[in-house]
Amino acid sequence: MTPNQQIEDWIARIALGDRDAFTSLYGATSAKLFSVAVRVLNDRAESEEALQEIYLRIWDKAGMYAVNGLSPMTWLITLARNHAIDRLRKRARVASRMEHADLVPDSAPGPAQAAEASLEAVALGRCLEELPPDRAQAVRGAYLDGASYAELAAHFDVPVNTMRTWLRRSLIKLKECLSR
Amino acid sequence: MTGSETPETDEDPRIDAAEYALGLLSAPEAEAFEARLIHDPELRQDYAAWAEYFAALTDSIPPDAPPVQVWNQINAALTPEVPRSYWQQLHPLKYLLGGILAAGLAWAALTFGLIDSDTAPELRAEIAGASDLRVIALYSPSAGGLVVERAAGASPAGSVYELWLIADGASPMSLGVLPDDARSFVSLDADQVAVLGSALLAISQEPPGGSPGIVPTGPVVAVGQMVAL
Repeated sequence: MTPNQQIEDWIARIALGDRDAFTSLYGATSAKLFSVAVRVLNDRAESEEALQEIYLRIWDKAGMYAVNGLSPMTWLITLARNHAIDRLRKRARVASRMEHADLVPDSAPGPAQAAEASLEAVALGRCLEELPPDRAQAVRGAYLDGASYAELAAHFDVPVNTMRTWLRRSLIKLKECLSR
Repeated sequence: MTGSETPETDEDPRIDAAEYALGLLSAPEAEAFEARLIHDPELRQDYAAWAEYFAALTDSIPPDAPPVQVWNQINAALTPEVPRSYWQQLHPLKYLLGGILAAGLAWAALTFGLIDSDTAPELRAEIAGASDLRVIALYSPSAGGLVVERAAGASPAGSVYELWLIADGASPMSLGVLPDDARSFVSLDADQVAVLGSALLAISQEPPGGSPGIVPTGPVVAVGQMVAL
């Protein structure tokens, strides 16, 4: 079994209530999902809470895995990222964090990381580089910082509609590049 | 195309799959998008492709092991509420009695016309797993059963695929061995229809003739949740 097949097998078993499969999945994926939560939330204690909720969701939602056609790691990462961002947004409503905070400048992976990067990561990195740097930063900021259009607009100091048109055009360019 | 609701006519309407994947759509927009997702396999592919690419943005984050107490708390949260290991825990006799009872009720329901099938919603499940097997099950109230389409994957030589219905927290019920036909029909009794909305369908690999027991004996190769259409 490839690692992906192994994870799919665990997810299928978890859907049927198999606790051993759940233990195995946690062992194999928790460091990855925790790192995603910490990256989004930038707070280890909150990320620990988020991670508990994430794995309880995985336990509950394993039967939904096949619905959207994602690969197993992407399904897990998406679930973890979305959950962390839900938490972030609840927190942000109180603190309006984008006013003072900034998009964490996530550069493209360095050479050492690129050596291990997936094909998707290499293609995406190459295509993001074809965009103006601030727009690539906006895409990363939306995914990894959970920035909304309003927050991105405030950060780049443009009206929200402009921001949306801007980002949609960037996404179209990105799609063209990724389809090549 | 499906983008008539987006005002920007000069733009690719499919780009909302990317906006959805980034979490940029407003709550009503996201809901509308999800509704389209259910009916539009091409849009699902589009979304899946974006999700794969964006997930790769996390490749550069070094793995970070969580402290042990996180697992302990997850475990503690599961133990009291979810005694779900139906495979092993239930006494075999319980399955048997359940099956006989269900069969009796189904007979009664069919005979006396108690199945109000017209009011049940249409449901669908995509059953998939690590193998290349892809099966789509559609519940049709008027037919009183599941139309099962085998989109891909043949059973390995010397074995068969068996379909199981697993209601929330209940033991698996066999829906029979899947024929090799691309499309087949599985009739359901009233009890099975009643729990279908929140049920899982699973496919296990079994010896010819199906599971010798009343639970799956071979590996579970595909699982899917029923969802409303």
